[in-house]
Amino acid sequence: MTGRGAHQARIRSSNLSHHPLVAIVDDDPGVSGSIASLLRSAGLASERFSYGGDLVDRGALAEFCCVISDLHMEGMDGKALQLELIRLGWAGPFIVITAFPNDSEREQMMSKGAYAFVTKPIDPDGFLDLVEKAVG
Amino acid sequence: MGIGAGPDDWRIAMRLGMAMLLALGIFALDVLSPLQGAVAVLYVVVILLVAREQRRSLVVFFAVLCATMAMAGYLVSHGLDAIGSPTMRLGVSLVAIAITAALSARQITAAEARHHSDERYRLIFDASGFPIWESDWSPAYKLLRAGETPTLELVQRAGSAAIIRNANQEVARLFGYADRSELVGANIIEHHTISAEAAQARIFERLLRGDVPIEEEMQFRTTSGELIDVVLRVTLPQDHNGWSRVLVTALDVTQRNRDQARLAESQAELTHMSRVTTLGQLAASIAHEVNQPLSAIITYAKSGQRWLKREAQDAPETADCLDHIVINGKRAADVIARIRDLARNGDPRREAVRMAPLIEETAELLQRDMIASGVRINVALATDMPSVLGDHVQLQQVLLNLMMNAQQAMASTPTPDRELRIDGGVRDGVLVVEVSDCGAGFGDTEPEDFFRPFFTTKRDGMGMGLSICRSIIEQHGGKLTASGNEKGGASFTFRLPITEDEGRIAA
Repeated sequence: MTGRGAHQARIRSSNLSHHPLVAIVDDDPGVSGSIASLLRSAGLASERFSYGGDLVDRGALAEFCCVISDLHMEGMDGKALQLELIRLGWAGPFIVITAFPNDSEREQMMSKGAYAFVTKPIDPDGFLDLVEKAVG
Repeated sequence: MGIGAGPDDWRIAMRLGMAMLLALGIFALDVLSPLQGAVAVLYVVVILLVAREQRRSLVVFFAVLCATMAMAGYLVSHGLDAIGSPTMRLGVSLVAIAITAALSARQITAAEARHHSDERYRLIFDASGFPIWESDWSPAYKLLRAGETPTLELVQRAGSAAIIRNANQEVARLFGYADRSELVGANIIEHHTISAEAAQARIFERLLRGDVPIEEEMQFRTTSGELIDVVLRVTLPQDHNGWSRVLVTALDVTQRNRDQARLAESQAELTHMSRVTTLGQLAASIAHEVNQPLSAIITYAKSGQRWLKREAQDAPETADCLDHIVINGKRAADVIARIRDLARNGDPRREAVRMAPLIEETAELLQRDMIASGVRINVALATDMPSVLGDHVQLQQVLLNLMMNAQQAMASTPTPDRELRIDGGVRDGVLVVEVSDCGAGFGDTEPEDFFRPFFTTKRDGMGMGLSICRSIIEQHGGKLTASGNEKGGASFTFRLPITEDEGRIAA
């Protein structure tokens, strides 16, 4: 299901190839799927990844105008992904979403230039505003 | 002794002089008297007098002297006459002198042996380092023999009549006296507590049955009013003579009992803390797990509302349903948030935690349990183990959990192989601690599955332990992972960021 969902998202995104893409990185397909649907409803195309490493491996980071990433994941977690993107020279808005907020991690990631640190469950209206503002 | 002659030496010299005079008197009587009797037999008195000095050499010396004098007297009176009745009398006298001397010498030897044994006994008594005293409990013996039962009332009556015959300095120290002389001739009834009297009654009862040696723990009150816990051991010597000589040794166990109580207290505290933390973590863990699908539900419902406006504006019932899904989803999220706040009440502390002592302390805590299940703990920590920023109790809980898991994982491992290793050090700038067992490892299961909530391999396990451990480590900004090890067992490794204060702490 996840694979097909991601595939569909990619097809859609290719239809809207002139639009900038939002990357959603979360190992919970329910979370990433719901955010993708929400963004689509506002005309924002997105691509979903289960792991931070998948996004990095995909390459062509310049296509993404925004990255929404979970904090705690297997392998490359949100923090490591943020650092890796900085290292690769990607400088777009990085939005952290987490069901396990913690002050020191919030401070750490914000100081490294994260755009926002959002606690799950997200407030969809507020979140959409946030992403639209980030995408510009 | 040598040069400065004390009054004793004078007395001895005087007594010996008297004996000498007596010998001379007997000699004179023997030579000068016309009596046809065995006067020389009287030398026996001289030897008996000398024997009172308890010195074998003196007895031998005087025996030889007296025999010589007897023979000299014979020669003076009778010359070298033919053997006759005077010769017989001399012979009888000499035999009497010899026998008396021999008996005296033997008595002296026996007395010396007894003296040595008494000395040894006194030395043991005085220098044992344990409180020892010898009591006269004959009043109690008489009362009990007369058919009385060992009640508290009897203990009080008999106790006040009992007398301490002898006590070493340790007894004085135990009860708070300056010197043991204060105890000799007294009794210890004023040091009794209720528990001591009850124990004393039991001692009487068992003593009466001949059930020796007896050990009883009881409490005494010292002269300063302090309560002390003492184990008494009561023995009856063979010649106790109706309990008039009872040997009592005491072992002061006050400190031991206090330490035990403190240990039990801190263990109970730890268990309680651990339970509270577990509950808190359980709530936090559930909140975490539930928030994920809740987030999806609310977002999907909200997204659905937006799509509905675009795709089917004339579906008011569906829109209403989606509204209610959002409202109820948020309600559920509020409940979860409240639980999480509650869990956070025992807010994890953020302080520099020194890992090396924490690991050693935790290993120490489990040591007894591990020994009981035949597990050896092997702790190998780098000398430069740094501190981490976090909550001491939570991190200890992780260690306890991992170590207890390791212990249980080796339940079916042959006992000689049951080794639990804890390795600690710094790798790539983070603190790494690895807890390894020699159990059966993960088998076909993915190590990662062990961290899923409610995953368990134990019959009575809830499957939250590792999930909670992981969330604690993640809250500390670290990672907890599992892997198989070269011994076929499982290794759990956590990595924690080193506190930035480390430099300052070390400085």
